[in-house]
Amino acid sequence: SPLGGSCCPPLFSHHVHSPGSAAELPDAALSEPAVTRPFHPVSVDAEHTARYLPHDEVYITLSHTSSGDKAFGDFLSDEIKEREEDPEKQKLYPRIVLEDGELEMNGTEAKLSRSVSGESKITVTFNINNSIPPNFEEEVEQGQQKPNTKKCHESDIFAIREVSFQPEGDTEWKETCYTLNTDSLDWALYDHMMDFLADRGVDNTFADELMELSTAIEHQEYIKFLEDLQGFVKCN
Amino acid sequence: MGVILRNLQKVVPLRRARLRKDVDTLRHILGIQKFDLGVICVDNQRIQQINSIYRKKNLPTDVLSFPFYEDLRPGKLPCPLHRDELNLGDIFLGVEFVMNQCREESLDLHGALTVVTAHGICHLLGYRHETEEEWTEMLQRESYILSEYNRLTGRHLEPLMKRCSQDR
Repeated sequence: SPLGGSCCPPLFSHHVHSPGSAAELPDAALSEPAVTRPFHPVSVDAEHTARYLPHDEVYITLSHTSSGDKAFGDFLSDEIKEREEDPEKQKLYPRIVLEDGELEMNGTEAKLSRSVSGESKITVTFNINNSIPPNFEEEVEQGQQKPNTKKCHESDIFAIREVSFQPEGDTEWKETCYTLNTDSLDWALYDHMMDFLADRGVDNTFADELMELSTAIEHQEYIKFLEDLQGFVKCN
Repeated sequence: MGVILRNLQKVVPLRRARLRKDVDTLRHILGIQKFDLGVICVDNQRIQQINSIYRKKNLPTDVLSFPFYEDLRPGKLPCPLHRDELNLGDIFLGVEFVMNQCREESLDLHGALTVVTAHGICHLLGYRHETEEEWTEMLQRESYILSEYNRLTGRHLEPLMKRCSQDR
């Protein structure tokens, strides 16, 4: 960005030497070769100041509204109605087959846990905030192309990114615990870890079902949000 | 680099480490360890789609190979000039198709996947089975690879070529 951290731009000036007025030039100029340059006008704003963009997010807080916005309110009513009638909503909390499993919600954070062979416990935690929609790409290939056939981006349905031993019981991920990044991991070790998870029910099928669950939760939260917004806009 | 393994399906429970080890054994037998290889496991729907697009056959199959080098003399290893070219190509394994076959014939899935992968690698190395002569040559090669594999692992795998006499 040309604005970031720059000072006022230098003022450009051009000296046009004309042989006829050599006697009027200061001594230093006489020793320089007479060079005639084409004149490029440069407009410089006399009150030019540099402008800076904030680096981080800008927060705007509104404590309450004193006047309602009817158009906005009506829009929200329509939106809520449409979402309520969406068949996706009927699939609330799609069934995830878990042996002795349970789902806990803490706002937008979901925690799925189940015991494995009655001994250890496996917990899957995720936050539906900032969830990324799956990337669908239309496959354009030579030969036969099927219409309405969408293909997922060619990648594993799920992959391990980082592995770390964390203190038991702590809910926060400690950055001071050694964390293995799978980007530079031996692939055989990676496959063993994937098999290990698959044996405990965390595999492509589970990843698929998790996406459905996450979508359903996100949908529900969105409707709640619209309703809250509707109440706020109506003004108290 | 090495073998890039991708599991894009959820129909068949795969043992990734086992598959990788078997593929590495095959690479060792063929002396192609320095080459990269892609092994992508897909279901019937996906393999049928690829088969349809690239071979005009709207059917699922067991393996489809996409060689990096398209005109290799059978069994002649490429001599790449650049590191970027140390690549043999990609093999799509129709794991669901193979699993169904195994059920019918009471075979071990991962053993069958190894055989199918050997077949696929042969295709990447220029082997074909369009003519009788080509078929014989490829069968010989596959037999050699699998007999070496059996010797190293104590298993008893048979070439794919024996079971199918026509192009799939």
